[in-house]
Amino acid sequence: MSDRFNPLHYLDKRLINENPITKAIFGLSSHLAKRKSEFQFFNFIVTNEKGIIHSDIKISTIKNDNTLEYKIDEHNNKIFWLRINHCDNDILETIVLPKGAILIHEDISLNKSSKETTINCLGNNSYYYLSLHLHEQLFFNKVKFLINNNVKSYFFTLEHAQKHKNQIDYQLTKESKLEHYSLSSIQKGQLQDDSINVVHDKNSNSKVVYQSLNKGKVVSQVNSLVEKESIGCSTEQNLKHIVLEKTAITNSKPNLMICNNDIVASHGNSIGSFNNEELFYLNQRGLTKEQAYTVLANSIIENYLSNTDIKDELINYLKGKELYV
Amino acid sequence: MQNKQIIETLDTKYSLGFSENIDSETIPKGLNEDVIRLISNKKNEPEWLLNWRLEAFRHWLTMEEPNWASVNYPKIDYQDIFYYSVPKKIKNEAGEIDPELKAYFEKLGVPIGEQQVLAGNIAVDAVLDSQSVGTTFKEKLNKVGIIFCSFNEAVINHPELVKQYLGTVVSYKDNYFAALNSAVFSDGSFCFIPKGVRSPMELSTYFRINQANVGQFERTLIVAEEGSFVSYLEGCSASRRDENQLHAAVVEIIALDNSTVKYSTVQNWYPGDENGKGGVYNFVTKRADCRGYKSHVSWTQIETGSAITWKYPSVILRGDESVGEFYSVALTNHHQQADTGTKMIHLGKNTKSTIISKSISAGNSSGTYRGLVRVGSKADNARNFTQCDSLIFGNAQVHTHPYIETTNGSVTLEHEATTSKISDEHLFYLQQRGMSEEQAKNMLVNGFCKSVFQKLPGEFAVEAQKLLEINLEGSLG
Amino acid sequence: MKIQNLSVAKSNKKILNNLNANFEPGKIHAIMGPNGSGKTTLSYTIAGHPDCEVISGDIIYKEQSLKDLEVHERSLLGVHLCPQYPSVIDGLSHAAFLKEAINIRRHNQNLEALDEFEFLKLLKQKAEEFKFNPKDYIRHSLNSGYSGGEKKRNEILQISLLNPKFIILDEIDSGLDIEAMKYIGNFINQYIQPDVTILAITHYPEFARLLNAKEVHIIKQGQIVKTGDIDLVKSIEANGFGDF
Repeated sequence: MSDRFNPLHYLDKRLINENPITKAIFGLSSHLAKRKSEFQFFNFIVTNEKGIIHSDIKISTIKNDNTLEYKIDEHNNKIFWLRINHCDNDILETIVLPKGAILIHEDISLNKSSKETTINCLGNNSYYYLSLHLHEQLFFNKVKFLINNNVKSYFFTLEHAQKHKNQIDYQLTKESKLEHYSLSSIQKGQLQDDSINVVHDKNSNSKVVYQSLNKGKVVSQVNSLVEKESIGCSTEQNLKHIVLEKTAITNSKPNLMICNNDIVASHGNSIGSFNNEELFYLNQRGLTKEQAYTVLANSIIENYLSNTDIKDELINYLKGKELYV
Repeated sequence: MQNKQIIETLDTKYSLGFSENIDSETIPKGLNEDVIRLISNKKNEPEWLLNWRLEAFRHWLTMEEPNWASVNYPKIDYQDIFYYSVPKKIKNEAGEIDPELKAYFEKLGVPIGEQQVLAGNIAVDAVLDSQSVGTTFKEKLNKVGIIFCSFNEAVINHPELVKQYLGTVVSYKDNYFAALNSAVFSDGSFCFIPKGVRSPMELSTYFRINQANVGQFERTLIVAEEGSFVSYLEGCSASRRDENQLHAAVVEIIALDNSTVKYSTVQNWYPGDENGKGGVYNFVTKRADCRGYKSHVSWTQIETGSAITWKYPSVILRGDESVGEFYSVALTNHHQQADTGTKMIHLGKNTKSTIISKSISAGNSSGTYRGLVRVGSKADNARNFTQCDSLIFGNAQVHTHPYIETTNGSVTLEHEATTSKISDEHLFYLQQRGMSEEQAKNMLVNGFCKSVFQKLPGEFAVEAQKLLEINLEGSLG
Repeated sequence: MKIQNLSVAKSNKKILNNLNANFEPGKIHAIMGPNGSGKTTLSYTIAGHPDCEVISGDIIYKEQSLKDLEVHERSLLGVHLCPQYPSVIDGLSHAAFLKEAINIRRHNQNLEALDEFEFLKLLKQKAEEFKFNPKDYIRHSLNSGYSGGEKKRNEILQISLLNPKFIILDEIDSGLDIEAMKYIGNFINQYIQPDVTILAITHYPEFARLLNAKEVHIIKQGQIVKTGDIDLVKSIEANGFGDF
């Protein structure tokens, strides 16, 4: 097992053609001696186009078997796209996001596995979790965030494992602000099980928006905790599930636990289909029910992406994969 | 907003906390089969009902007390409760209500003699500790076929009806307190509205706990046949005691095709003093079964009392196009704890439910709202709208858990909830128009609860508003 | 289009009561009547809205009964409803939406779908024609942030693009200033062809005149009580709907 990695030594030609916007790619593969035959393959897609992604990702050390610690250097460029490709392995990751950095964390798990990530966001960060590949059975993604200043977090799942479970914990420091946006599309026979927990320190704000386009089964739980000493907080939860199949199952559980009276908190929870008037309008322009559903589902995805700071990059990437939009 | 000093006058504010030394017959404390047989015997119950009680009791013994609610209370010693206490003198030879009892209830503002009539006739069944002491307007109601009497009376005079419906909505196996209630239930009301009849007046039951350490286990059964309508009110209060008292009630409502039942409660059990001493434990199972096509049940409640409240009035929307509604204002102050909410279970097609819940938590109290809207797989086109809002003051805690579970895709379920303090902007505006801070706050709290107050029958709306003001006085800091 | 003995209920309330009408092609028909008379119900029923329950009667168009046709099928037949309040759909760009709509029609006619480049060229042209900023219009979410006037302009842009043959304008003039009204009126007048039928529902005699409606139908209490030419408008101006 090597404990030093120099990205420049390894170049994986396979990656070059995958993403049309890339100009230079650094690929890295590592062998972990303790686990025979599996190997973890970290693809860093790096491009210099518009200075999007930085090429200099220093990896500090591999702590033990499956632990990776990334320290992203502060440079002019600030968007980093980390694609994690793991089969059968359970991984532990630690990431420190410097101020202003944007991290795209793409997950490709080929078999049953889990990933546990701890992220320290130093401030003004955007974090994107993408799950855009069809996986095998169960994938358990656990992420713990330490939130300083303003952080926006996006969990975008279009295709995923039979069972995909996200456990997301946010610890908000004093006066910090968090916006979390989830959007998942669940096919028939799939399960998405999400649990989002937000713990507030003094004067912190959070907003969690959770949307699903559901043809299978969704279980969503959002917990906001404001403890006794945490004055001046605000928290908002909005869960919106759109059901696209008669057999879809949706369990939606927003929870507010408020122990301080200096608070503004709200939550909304809804399950339904598309707005009838919108459906009728599209029908009246010639679209069948299924076509109208597709158009409206896409519009939700489009809307979601337009909120992000990397909208164009994401859309191009999705188009390249022939996914929605 | 700064916390004001809470005025230490809660004791004097619960004006219904007086107790009277009413000569009562009481079975010694303790719970076992003998006590149950004795209770059943004293009420002249038929064999089948005694057996039902015993089955429930035996089942209760196998159950474990639930502890999932976010309320904390010291372990209840079920052997340390009187399960039966009945005033010795209820009626004289002429069938008139004993004057001492009449006076007692008058002090409470409950007219049990038909001479005194509240504005707008209301038929009243008054229950003191373990017994109904009188029901007004029985004959008048009888004329249109309505049966409104104490539960005990119904068992004796209309056993077939009771047998047909008792336990069909809440079986004794349902939960721990339902089992306990089924074993030792004291008295309650029975209402039967026959086909096509619209009740000419409101029916109400007033429950009063007077004796110390008496548990009140009321059982109410309301049956609305096809096309009928009834509006029912439940009122209650208890004398102020240092020990906690247990009130574990079961209310079952059955609504058949095209019938409507409106059930309103203004709950004012003794909430305990400002240090949390004493007060009633209010553990209630209330459930309505909308069995019929287009049947409609609505629960409206104003909860200001009891030390601990644990109740979820629910509606099972079985019949197609049935409608369930739940409107609630819950106030907790000092050391009160409340874990309440509602369940709407959609089973039939095109069913609709509405939930509007407002809670106000002050002092050191804790309020939890738990809502469940569940849509079954055959419940096509179910619709629900839920709004739960909370106001917090002082050191209170509020938890809200509005859950939705669906197994049918053709649904529209919406929920909104807000938790906040009173808006400073609104306060300023009202003060700028001449109101004191206290007045302004009361006005805002009132506005906050308005949508629920509007659902109460006339008189009660006024009483509810007053109750809220009294209970919140000095706590809106 | 022939409407025969049409009775329609909405939320269990009967709105159209044995309504009969004959809307000949090549003309602009003005439909006028007091509030609650059933104008909107009539238009939504022709379009096939699920809330409009047809109790009895029929609608015949192009020698077919519309009764058993779904909403989108009627649309492909050429029926086009311009609602009074067009939908705003965030996240759905004009480009995405209209491309879908056009290609559905082309597919229906066994034509190949328009390719991206050609379509965008066409759309930009139309956008400019109808006084929208072409570059902005393409990516703009459907009607998002548009004023009433812009929404209506967007509607007629759609007409120009999709070429429907039976158009129902549900109060297209409402909320518009004189300029906008003239602009729209002008477009409608130019759009009329021998095989095109236009129903313009309006409250304002002014607008009916502007359109030079060849036939004016008065609808009252769910029935067409009088059909006449543009002169009918004069009596409405003078005496309201009382006389009918």
